[in-house]
Amino acid sequence: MSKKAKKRRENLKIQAIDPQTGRMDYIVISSERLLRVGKRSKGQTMEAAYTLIDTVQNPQHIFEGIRWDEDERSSDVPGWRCYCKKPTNRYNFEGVPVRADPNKVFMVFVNENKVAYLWYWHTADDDDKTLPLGHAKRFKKKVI
Amino acid sequence: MRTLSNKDYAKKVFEIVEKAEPFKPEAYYDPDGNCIEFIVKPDDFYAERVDDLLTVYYSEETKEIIGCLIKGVSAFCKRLVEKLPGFAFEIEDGRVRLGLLLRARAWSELSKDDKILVLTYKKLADSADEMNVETELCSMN
Repeated sequence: MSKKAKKRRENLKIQAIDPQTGRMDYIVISSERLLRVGKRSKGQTMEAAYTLIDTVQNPQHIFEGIRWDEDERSSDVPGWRCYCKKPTNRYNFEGVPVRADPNKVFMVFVNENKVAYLWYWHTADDDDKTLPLGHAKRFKKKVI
Repeated sequence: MRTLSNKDYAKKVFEIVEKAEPFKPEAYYDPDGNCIEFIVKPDDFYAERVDDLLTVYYSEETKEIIGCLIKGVSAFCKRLVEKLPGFAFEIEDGRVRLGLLLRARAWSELSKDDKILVLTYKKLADSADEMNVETELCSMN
């Protein structure tokens, strides 16, 4: 099957906070990515189902604009965002909730089409454990 | 497309994941993020951004490198073809060996002072070669 003929699965639309208005808007979760994450562990599936939602609906920080990725067409247009939160719990490999590492934050990256294309745990900043390490170098603006 | 409640979304996630094939090491190009993700092991991991291109994934359990994310793929590939014209010959049907892509970055854009970074690229390239991992690339046009 050619790449163009490959059928894309339907994505999932969920609520996410819009930092411009402070109200709930929406983002779309890529089903392709969910399938890939689902291959890895029960824990990563649980994160996609629950931690991701919590992060985009109740973030502690939202960043806009990437400093490093000069080719990111979307990085300077409205809509590209990175949501960040320091959740209390994470899910272990078997999907059981356990206490999250206090030195990690959860990040969700959303492109200009409102597609959440990436999410992961990242090492926290040494001075403020709710921020990701290197945030000042990576992002142009912290909107929340 | 209707907006799902949190409960319905979680239900859908589990339905989608049920269809997932068993894990195997892989790299794939994600057009939504213009990035390539490479996963060697399915361990829980945390990420660290190490330079303008690379985010390294470390196993929560063992702290070893178990994957990476390569950002800004289209600009990187264009730069590579300009600096190393022969690289274009390594792209077949829009696919390239991931190990070669990582080595090309180290050869062409890292400085001799970036010793730890060079070792990180080498470790990832070795893993990709060992597993014979290829990745799709974005359009270079």
